[in-house]
Amino acid sequence: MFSADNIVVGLETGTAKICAIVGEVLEDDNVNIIGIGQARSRAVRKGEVVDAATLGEDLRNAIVEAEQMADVEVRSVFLGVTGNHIQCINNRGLHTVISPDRVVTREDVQDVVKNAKAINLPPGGHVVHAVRQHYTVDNQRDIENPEGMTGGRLEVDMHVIHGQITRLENPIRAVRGLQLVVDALVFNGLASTLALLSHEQKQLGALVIDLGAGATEYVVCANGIVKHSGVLAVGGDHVTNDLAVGLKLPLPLAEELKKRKGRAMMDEAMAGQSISLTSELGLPEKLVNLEHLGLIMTARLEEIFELILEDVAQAGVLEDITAGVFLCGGGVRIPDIVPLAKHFFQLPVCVGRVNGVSGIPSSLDQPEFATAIGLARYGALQWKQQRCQKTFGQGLRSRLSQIFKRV
Amino acid sequence: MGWFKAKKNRRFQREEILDVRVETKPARRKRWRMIFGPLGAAVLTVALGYGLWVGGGEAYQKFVLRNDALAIRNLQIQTDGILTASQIRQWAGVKEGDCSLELDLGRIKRNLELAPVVREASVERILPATLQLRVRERRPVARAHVLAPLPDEGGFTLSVYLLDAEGYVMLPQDFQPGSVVAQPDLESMLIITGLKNADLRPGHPVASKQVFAALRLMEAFEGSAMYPLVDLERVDISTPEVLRAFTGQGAQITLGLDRFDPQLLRWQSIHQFGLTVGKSIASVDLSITNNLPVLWSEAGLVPPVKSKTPKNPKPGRNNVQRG
Repeated sequence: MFSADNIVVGLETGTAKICAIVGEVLEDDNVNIIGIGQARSRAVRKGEVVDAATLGEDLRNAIVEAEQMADVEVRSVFLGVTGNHIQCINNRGLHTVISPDRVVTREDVQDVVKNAKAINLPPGGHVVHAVRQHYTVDNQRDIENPEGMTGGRLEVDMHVIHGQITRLENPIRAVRGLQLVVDALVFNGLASTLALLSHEQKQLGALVIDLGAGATEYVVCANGIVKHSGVLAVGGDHVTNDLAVGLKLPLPLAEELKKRKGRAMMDEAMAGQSISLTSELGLPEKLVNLEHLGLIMTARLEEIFELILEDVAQAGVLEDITAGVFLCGGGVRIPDIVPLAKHFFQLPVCVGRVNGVSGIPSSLDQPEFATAIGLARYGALQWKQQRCQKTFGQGLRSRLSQIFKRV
Repeated sequence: MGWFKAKKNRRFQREEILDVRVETKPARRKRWRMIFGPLGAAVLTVALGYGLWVGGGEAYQKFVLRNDALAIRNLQIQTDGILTASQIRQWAGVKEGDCSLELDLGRIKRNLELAPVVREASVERILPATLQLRVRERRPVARAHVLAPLPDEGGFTLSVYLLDAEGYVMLPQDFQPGSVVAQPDLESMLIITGLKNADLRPGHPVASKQVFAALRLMEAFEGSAMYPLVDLERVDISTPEVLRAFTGQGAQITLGLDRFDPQLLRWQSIHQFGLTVGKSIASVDLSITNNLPVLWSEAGLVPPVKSKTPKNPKPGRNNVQRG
């Protein structure tokens, strides 16, 4: 085993599975996936930890598997978080440029970003991400870098993703229990976006929906920035639960039925057909109407899409989505989910494919791994950012030169 | 600059952070900065202070103390008496080449005034390279003869002290040959007797009403008409409330302690009267106003009056040396 500085690990604690992706950052700053570890998740419900001890075991299994495949020693991870407590808000920061020549300096930019980050959070709230959007200088909008421009009023829009600190701490504690360091918390939706969308797609405008087992995350990107995001604490498990309740089946059987015969859209061929379910002993147990199965699944999936559509429309970013809708997560395995989404959103819809990442081909094509791969990619970006950060000497020199320039 | 910019928004002060490297790293850095920032600033300040202290000292040495432009090249010494320039320079403790800024003028003045013969001194620094010393000397006008006990052998010995016009006590050794340009004529000075040895402390004025009266008498005598007629050699102050003056002509004159001019006039009148009858005064008591008792002696037996040098006017500043 070896430990290299350019190794980044993404760890997703999903409701259905724990997934660890080990990637190495290449010279061109792309990520090469060299190891994947999976374990069945037994301690996560709706994206949140319900049994810390069991989660620790599952995490260890996933990490060990990934370490063995990648032949590296994992020391730190980028941890994905989701859950009903994650909320998103767009905030605008304002700063008045006070320099005599009205030229926007780096300090002005830092100040306006700080102001934009300062939002009134609910009690116990904690900012997970503060994603910078566009700047506005004296009402001139969509400025990407205002430094060096002239203006008196500098504004910036900031997309802030925040959650409850106590609920965020649970997975961190579990990871630290394995003597691993958490490099950063990353919102799963944002990680999926990083994994799936190319630069052009971000510019054109795209909606990424991560249909997980316990939660569904969605992110809208347009003009190269994150415009909106959200989490629904509804996912594939709820479909299973609906089937269990609606068809009066035990949960394992409902899950099995969903995987074997489930469809997102009603098919004419399903009308009037039934399927006989057998018990573990092979005896016929129950006759299930496939039409009812389709109805139940379609209703739940439509509800999920409807909630997303409503929220996106309410945020006023629906018109910005021109590249289409990109689906990922385990829920994408449901047949006809793409036509359903296409029908619902009236936009081009496809199952997202990971881009900008190389490595184990089997993992890259799996929509379930998009989030974990995105976490690794986020880690690569952070790694690159750290590498580009100024050294102490450079920082000191720059600071002194600024002082002398002002004097 | 932003280093010490105060954060106005209280929401920036949220301290709750997750145990995540991306959050703990800046927090740890901030904590380290909080600890080591003031510490570093203190160390830097101390180092800077020490550097300034040492550098300042070196600069002071180089640019002030060892600066030729500020070295004394012109030492001006002025005195109104007989002290030599070298003696004054020695007492002052200065020499050419000393840094003029380094000199403690108060100390030099004090050093000069510690010498009993120096009545007053003034020291003036004229930058860049001139030091001016002005001295007013004491001039002895009378001798005091007292009997001092011999410490080892027992008995007494005659001690001689010098007094200036203000009663300031000096020793004759202060006027030894070599230390002055010209010695004062000690032999011709008025002798005062009848003092106690304990009253005379060299370097201090004598605290005796009669001594001051004797000195005033001498001053009044020198300005009177009797001065060319008799030689005033000795004044005895052992008798309370009177002065007994002895002349070179053998006369004993008793005088009161004040109002010398009328007493001297009466002395002159008596002296003139004696001359008309061929007599000379043997003794007279001028301290009483009426019916003065006078004893006469034959005028032919009286020694003649010494030739008197006219009184010198007060000397101006002489012995000026420009070093």
